[in-house]
Amino acid sequence: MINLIYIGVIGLIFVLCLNYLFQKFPNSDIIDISEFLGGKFLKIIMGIIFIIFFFLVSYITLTDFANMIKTIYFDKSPLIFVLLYFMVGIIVANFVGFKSIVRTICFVVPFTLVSIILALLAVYNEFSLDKFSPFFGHNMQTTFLNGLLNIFSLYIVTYYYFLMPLLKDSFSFKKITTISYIISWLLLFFTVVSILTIFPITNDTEPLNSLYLLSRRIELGDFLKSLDALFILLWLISIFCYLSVSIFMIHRIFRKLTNITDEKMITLSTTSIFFGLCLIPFNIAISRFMENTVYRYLIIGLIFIGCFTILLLANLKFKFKKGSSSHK
Amino acid sequence: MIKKCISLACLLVILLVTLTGCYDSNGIENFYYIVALGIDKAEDNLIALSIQIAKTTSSSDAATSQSSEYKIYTVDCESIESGINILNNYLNKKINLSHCSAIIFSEEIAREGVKGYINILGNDTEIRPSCNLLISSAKAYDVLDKVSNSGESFSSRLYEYILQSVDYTGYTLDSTFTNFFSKINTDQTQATAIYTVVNDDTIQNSGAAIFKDDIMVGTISPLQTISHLLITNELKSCMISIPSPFQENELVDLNLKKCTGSKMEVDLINQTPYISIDLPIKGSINSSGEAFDYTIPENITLVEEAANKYLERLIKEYLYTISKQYNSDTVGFGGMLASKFLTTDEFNKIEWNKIFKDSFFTVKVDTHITSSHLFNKE
Repeated sequence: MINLIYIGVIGLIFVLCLNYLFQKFPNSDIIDISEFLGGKFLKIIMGIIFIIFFFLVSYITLTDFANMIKTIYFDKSPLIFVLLYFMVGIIVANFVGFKSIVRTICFVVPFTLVSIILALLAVYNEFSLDKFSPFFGHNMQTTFLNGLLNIFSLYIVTYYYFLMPLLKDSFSFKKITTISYIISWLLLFFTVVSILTIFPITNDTEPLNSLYLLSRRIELGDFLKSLDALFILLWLISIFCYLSVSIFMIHRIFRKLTNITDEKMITLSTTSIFFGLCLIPFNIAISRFMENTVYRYLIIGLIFIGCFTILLLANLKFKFKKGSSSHK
Repeated sequence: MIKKCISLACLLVILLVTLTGCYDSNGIENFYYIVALGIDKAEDNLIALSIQIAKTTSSSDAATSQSSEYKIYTVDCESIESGINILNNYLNKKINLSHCSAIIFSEEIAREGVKGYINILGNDTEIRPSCNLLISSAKAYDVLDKVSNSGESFSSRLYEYILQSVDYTGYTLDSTFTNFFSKINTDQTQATAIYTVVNDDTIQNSGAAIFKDDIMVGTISPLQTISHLLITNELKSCMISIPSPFQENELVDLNLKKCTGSKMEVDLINQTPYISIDLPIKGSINSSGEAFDYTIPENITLVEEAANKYLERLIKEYLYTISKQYNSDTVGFGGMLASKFLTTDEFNKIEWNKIFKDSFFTVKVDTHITSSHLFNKE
């Protein structure tokens, strides 16, 4: 729990730094800033890296969730059918447009918030601080040094690099990023607290998705029981929104790299590639390696180190350019 | 407009083609719903898996939704999964565990360790988190066979009714599958389960089975179970009879209720745990005989003192049983002590599992008695 608070504070400082560094680049995302810093070469490199990145994180999220849904509800159905429903949703959402995705997110988020808070209330009776002790985890090194790697869970930061051009008013960037970060961290905190309340820290066996097991515990008195199906539905819509936004980001980056006029044109192509990627029959060892190692280090390396360095250098270049032009 | 219509038509066709397919649909008629599952030891290193299935009747014939008949199938197998597969093959419907109210292990199996079975069942999405876990003093099959022999016709809810007695007797405890699963996977507290004694033709929940890790190490009596529930703040209500402070060989019946505000302190002095417990308890007099006048406040104080003395002795007996006899921290004192350490590495150095048996306990009970208004002064 201390580790979560620790990375939450570091993440907040990181977001505040991003806000400061983006001040010089209104209406620009990280691809534009890369072009400003290193010309077309860096722009293309960063664009390709981000396209691969969004494909990979979407792949990891979808395969994990689709496999869980299949195991629980559609035991007999082939995985391809489950994946197809997601693909249809992604295609429709991207054809209709980003505004529709945003509206759906606005509709779903309050319900998801309520579901997480309900989960917390469901385990309230079993809550005890002893379950989180010793508070500094295994040792100081694992909590503060190795634990720093857990910052990957604050993956929401990725979208801040692309948010600026999507806003009507670039001045609200600071407010939006700070508030969304705090909400995201609080949700993560509540979820971790709920899960740790019923599953011990030393529990190294994970029979099923912990969040699903938690949802099965949620009961509202003696009247409403087995609410897991309702929660799965909510999370299903949330995953739809998340994947739609990720594919939308791929389109935006691709448009910037190739100068195509309408990114909707490539919706079917990107979704087909994504669908094909999800059908690659990786065994569980490779999937877990991708989730636990590749995913984690990619987010830390690209989002928290790579992009931040580019932003920092771009600011220095901007300052240097401004200084030299005023000197002239 | 045309584009929109085409998109909508495509979407409709996709949905019609994919959503209306029902080749893999499952209705209740396709399953055998297990009411309880029993696991016994069999010969040649095998297990005997027993399942109890309530016989379903057509809705027009049945007066209630509950079946009054059941059937037990037993098969010798290598694992739970293989046993279910064999039964699936034998029966004409697929076995479904989503209505399983109880999982019963025989004491023989429990004393060898249950983690393997629990982890297999934990992977089964059909098992409900609220499914109860029982340890049978004899064979698990006997519990399935004798559950309905208590003068009541069989009902698929019979297990739930029997297990609900914990709410008003305190003679056993609540042991759901999820709680048990969590406890056998942590070092901070040890697991407990309902202990069911099989008599000639009936079964009785009597006390609790104590586990060390995933291995059953012993049992505690129903009165010790009340002590466990009092300490862990899980007692809903129970009845105890304490020696009357007014007359020898007389008893006073008290109804005890859960009271919040208990305090527990775990200290480590010279590698020896010193555990002090302060328990506020609410009680009411159910019957007092003719020995005393309960309307006099001084008499109530005397009853309270007698109750304190009785409960302190009872609780200490329980605590020394789990520490000295079984060395199993079923209350979770280890977790309380862990909160005094900064890191797990530091806590692990004291080797709690080894030193718990050397614990010293100080118990202070503060009973507050009120008249129950259930009887009048004669």
